[in-house]
Amino acid sequence: MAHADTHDHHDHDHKPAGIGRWLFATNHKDIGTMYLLWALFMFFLGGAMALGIRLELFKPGMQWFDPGFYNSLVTNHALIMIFGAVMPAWVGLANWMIPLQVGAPDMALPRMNNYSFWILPFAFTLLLSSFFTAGGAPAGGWTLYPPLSLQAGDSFPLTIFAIHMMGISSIMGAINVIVTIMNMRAPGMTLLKLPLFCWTWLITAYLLIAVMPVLAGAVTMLLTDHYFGTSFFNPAGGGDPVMFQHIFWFFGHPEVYILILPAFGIVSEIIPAFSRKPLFGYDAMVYATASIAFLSFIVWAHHMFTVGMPLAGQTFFMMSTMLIAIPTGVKVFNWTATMWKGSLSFEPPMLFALAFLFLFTIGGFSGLMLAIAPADFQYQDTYFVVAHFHYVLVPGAVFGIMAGVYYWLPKWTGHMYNMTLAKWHFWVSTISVNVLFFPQHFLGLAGMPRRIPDYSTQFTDWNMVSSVGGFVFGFSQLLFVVLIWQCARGGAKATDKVWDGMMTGLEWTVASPAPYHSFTEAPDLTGVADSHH
Amino acid sequence: MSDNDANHDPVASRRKARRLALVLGLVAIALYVGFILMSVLQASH
Ligand code: HEM
Ligand SMILES: [Cu+2]
Repeated sequence: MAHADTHDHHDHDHKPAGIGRWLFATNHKDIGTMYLLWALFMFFLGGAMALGIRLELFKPGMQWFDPGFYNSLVTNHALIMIFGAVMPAWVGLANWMIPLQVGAPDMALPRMNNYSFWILPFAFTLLLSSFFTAGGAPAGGWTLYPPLSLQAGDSFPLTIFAIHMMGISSIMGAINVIVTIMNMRAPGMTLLKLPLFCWTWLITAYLLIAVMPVLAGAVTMLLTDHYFGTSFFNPAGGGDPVMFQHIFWFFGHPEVYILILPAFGIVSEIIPAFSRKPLFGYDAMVYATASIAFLSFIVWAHHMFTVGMPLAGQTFFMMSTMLIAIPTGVKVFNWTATMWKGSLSFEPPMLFALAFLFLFTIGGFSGLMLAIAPADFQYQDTYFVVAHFHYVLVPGAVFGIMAGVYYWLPKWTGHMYNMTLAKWHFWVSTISVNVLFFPQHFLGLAGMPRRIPDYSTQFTDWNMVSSVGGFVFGFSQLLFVVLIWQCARGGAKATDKVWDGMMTGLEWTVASPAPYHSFTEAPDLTGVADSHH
Repeated sequence: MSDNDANHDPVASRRKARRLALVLGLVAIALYVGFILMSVLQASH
């Protein structure tokens, strides 16, 4: 792409010393690293809770936990994975890569960047401290539906304030992404030259600003209903609990796209790189992402078909939901067409991107099944829903994160990693994730409800299979940690381009490891052609 | 597509960035307050 001299030879990489470097961090690379390590830590904490769930469900009957604690595990597993792991992992990748991809020296608002990160440990300390309160941690599900969620004990205000803090953190992160992409691009880096990771993150950031305040508003109203005598959601005082569900899912459905859109971006960069062909339909990818984001605001009630909506409402939400399959289909088609007649190779990032392509699509199909209102009456609140969203979130969003880490890790550390170990991690994860989640489709179709610690005996076999898959998947993630640790400590020297593929982004023009300060003078891309037009 | 908004002048870019950030922050606060007010109206009619 650009032939700008971006190696910053005159730069003396002076990094602040000691703990202050991290506490007062304003460097996008340091903040990115902290976000990513935080996310990894949360993956293991949320993962430990998930293994607790699979342990209890290995056999019918109550084995390990009392039902209240089991429900706390389910609730906190979801809150930790969504707000503590997947979202911070995306913000970490955004911090590391967006300035490098747009040719900027740093994020536009470095101090706000520091606050966004450091809010998180406080938020999660608050959330987790609720395990030690009278009545235990929140147990009404991550969806916090009243009146159930209002039955929580002293944990309730802790949970609400934790969610407020997470919301503030991600809104500040989103603002930073938007202003960095809008105002800090190198000269000549027009919007339609941006790498797709920047595009999908830009659109994600707008979604975040639009819906995190809605969640904050909903939980604020729960708080006032609980402590200040309002009755927003209390029929006895003229309120309506169904209104909570509308507000929650007006946030909740865009939220699930917040979790997946950046993965679309990463996959859209990795597949061309390792197919050695420009992305098929770059502009269509941008417009498809924007359409998905727009449609995500008008489908929310597909989560509430069973509340008793008018037929017209059911029909509208069923149709609008199915419309999302069109831009999603455009994407899957374009990824496939990019590989068509390409010169493919299967390095770890490409393996994860391909697994994403197949397995995310399975989740998309089960989503379409759930979108059919009369069918959803059967599926609602069964393990079929659990299977659906875990397919889109684990081999979808989480594999997207892993693909990104495997793609850029040598750029961060300056070392290649252990390819054999990476392939083991890939294959064990990919096989076990299917053993873990595929049987949950069968369980759901057979009628097993979600969010229960016990079940009737005809569900035993597939639950055992699922639990075995869960433990293999969980423990195989230790391979990932070992690999990252080794790669941070040493290994073969990575070149600037890192991969023997079609590497087009500006990040491949700086040294590996990326210098502490990069693009202190903006590269000039005026008149430089991009690879995709 | 034009690149008028790109970073030709770092000082001006940062000023524009701060202004846009302020607008986006105000939008977020307005949405928060707006949704609560809307619910107040909904619950009190
Ligand atoms: C083709 C695209 C999709 C369609 C048609 C679709 C459809 C649906 C429907 C109808 C439900 C409600 C099921 C019920 O509760 O009865 C649902 C639940 C869910 N979906 Fe999707 N979905 C799609 C993509 C996604 C994506 C990309 C994600 C996240 C990355 C996602 C995450 C979720 C989650 C987390 C739930 C369950 C929320 C809960 O009740 O706790 N979905 N989906
Ligand atoms: Cu949805």
